[in-house]
Amino acid sequence: MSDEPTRDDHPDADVVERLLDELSRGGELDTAVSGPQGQVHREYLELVGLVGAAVEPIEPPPAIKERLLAEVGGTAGAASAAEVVAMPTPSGARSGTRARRWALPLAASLALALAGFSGYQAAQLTSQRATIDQLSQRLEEVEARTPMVAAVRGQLAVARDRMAMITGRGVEICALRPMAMEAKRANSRGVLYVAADHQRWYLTIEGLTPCKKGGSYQLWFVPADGAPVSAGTFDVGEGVRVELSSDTMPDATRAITVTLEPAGGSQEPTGPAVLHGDEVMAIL
Amino acid sequence: MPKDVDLEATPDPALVAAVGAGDAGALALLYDRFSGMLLGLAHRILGDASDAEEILQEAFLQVWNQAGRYDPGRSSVSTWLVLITRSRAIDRLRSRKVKDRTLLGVQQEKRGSHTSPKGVGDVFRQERGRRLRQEMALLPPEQREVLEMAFFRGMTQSEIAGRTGIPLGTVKTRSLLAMRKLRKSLRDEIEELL
Repeated sequence: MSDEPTRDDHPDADVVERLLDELSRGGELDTAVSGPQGQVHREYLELVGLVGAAVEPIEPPPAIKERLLAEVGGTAGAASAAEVVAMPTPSGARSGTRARRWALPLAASLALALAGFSGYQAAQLTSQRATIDQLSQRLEEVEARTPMVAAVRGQLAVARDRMAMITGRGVEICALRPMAMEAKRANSRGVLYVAADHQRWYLTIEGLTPCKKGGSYQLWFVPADGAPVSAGTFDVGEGVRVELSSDTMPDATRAITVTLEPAGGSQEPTGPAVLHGDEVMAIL
Repeated sequence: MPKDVDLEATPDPALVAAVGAGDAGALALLYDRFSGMLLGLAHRILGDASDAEEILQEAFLQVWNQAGRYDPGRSSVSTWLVLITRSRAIDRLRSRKVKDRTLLGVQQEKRGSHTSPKGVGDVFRQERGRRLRQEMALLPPEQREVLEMAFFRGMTQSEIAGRTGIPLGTVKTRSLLAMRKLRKSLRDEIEELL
């Protein structure tokens, strides 16, 4: 007798077999399963998706995107979120023949114009460049309104410094994962960028829910040995992305943690860990 | 989409909804988020860069044309895109009738062509991909083999049994055990998608 369990012992066997059958037939899977097996089916379906996502990613040649956007009536500039939102959407929802008439020559021209230029690198920096472009444009708009100029110039300088830091050689990143159940539900997450000098850092966090009254989030750098060092407290607005940065980081920092503390912060972590990251990887 | 919406931070389902409304910019961002993974998937199935790139473009054209049919209650966007791409790649594979050649391609999976993260979401997608590969690698080889033959080559369990010489019941059991182990070890990742 085999030590392996028989399929009849497990109610999920039918779900798995059905999914595998559908996978072998090709075409679209029947993703609508109701009843008691619906949740199990959905979990295995997502697992199938994860298996597909387990491959080593390959950077597509820029020309594929150019052709795709030409086909649907977009432009190469649609790669940039900032440009996307400023671009009028063709009326009638779907582009038609009219759009394709100009889109294909335009795409061809753009492809030639972009020859030799690294679309790969451009995409990587799109977000930061979009911020700089927006601020530059805004700066021009407010030049006449003197009181705002200094503030916008300051924001622009910060954005430029930040881009220089996070795109600099030797920069390391550390992903912060949600620890508390509420943070997991809200899909909270963050990424810490640390410059090659291991001093300057920039942290961006998404999905944190606003603190309840009397509480605040507190950021901690955790050294290999010794007590966590506070990097300050912060709160968030609903749906607002948090961005924190500084020019100093404690030596021998090995992890970063966000905890929920009483308003004003604590001397040492007392509340539950909301986000935590301790795996560092270099990206450039 | 309204002008003041930050597409970069837009959740995947909302992005698909925007694509369904004809927003080419949303399609571009969806492409940025998933094209590396989907091209890797198509290449893994087809073992040929040129075919894989065609499949990638076809898959996103299908997304453009059928985004309105996407139902977030049925699957995550990531899984929806994987299934679209896989389905097209398997169809292409069958039409070529070169499964033996592809087997070689599967075994010689392209390495060193990784992408660098393009943003916060990309960091997590890449990190998740690494973790998924780790978990796949931890499966017993005989279980991983049947799962990969089913998923990446579109083989039925009977075909797997015929190809490997393993009894059909054993193939089914190994498939089930592999799926169950992955479901357990990837519990957090699955819940993030639900």
